[in-house]
Amino acid sequence: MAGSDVVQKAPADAGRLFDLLVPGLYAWGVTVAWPVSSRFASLASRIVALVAVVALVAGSVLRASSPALARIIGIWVFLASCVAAWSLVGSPVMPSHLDPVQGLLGAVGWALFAVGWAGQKRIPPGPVELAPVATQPAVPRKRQPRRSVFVLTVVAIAAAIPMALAWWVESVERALLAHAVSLAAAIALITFAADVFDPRSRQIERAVALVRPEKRLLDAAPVLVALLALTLAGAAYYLLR
Amino acid sequence: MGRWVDLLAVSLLLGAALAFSLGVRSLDREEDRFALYWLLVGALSLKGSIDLIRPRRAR
Repeated sequence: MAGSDVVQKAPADAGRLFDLLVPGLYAWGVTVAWPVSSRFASLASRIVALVAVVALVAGSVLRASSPALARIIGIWVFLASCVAAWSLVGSPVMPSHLDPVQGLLGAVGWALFAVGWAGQKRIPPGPVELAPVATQPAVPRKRQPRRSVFVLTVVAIAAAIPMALAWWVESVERALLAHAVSLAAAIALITFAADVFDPRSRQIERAVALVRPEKRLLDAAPVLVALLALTLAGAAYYLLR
Repeated sequence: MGRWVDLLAVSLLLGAALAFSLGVRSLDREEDRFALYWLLVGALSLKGSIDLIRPRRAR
């Protein structure tokens, strides 16, 4: 019985190692090995790129025996080494030098790398205790009020505007920054709006209802004062220039 | 009063989206100072909205 377990476990471990290693090697090959192999790349960037691939292999191999250490080495050391290699290599990875097709292939590689490492669920070491069966029938979800649907739609449209505007930025470097900023802003806006109207946040809503409006204003006062000061400073600059 | 605070929070949320749009437009016009200004205004508006809708006492 134990022998058959070992036989079954070996291909599973090999498959898992393959799942972790191949996407990382592909992403590394397309986005790191390519720029550091250029003629003008420094020796330091090549060494750091080598450290990255060693970290990836070590992390993938350690995944079965020491998952926590494997994640530190396989994800964080690998990513840090890749970023260091990019910063040391200089001009070959400047946005104006990037080939769109290669950039797309690299993005796919990094997405696969992220999926490969994210797919490893932590399994509790001991026997799993099943949750007690609910004795009360599940309460169906309430329909979203029209007000929340309207606000969510308006926020989604408003969040899409910066993303659309980013496509009109002409300079390549600025366009990249504009896309990054607008994407981050859209994610922040929609996440927050969705969280506010999520039925799961009813408990927080009930707690908020207990907080008096004056206290809510008081809580937000430092940020609102800073915002007011910034707005006034902007207006003064606009009028005086 | 509570309804007005909710309205202020939603206005700040939409104001944040507007400020981010202005920031991106400033980037296009190569006005870095204005871009930074609008992005900061957007971030503060968003934080203000969060603090109003989800006060720390209730979290």
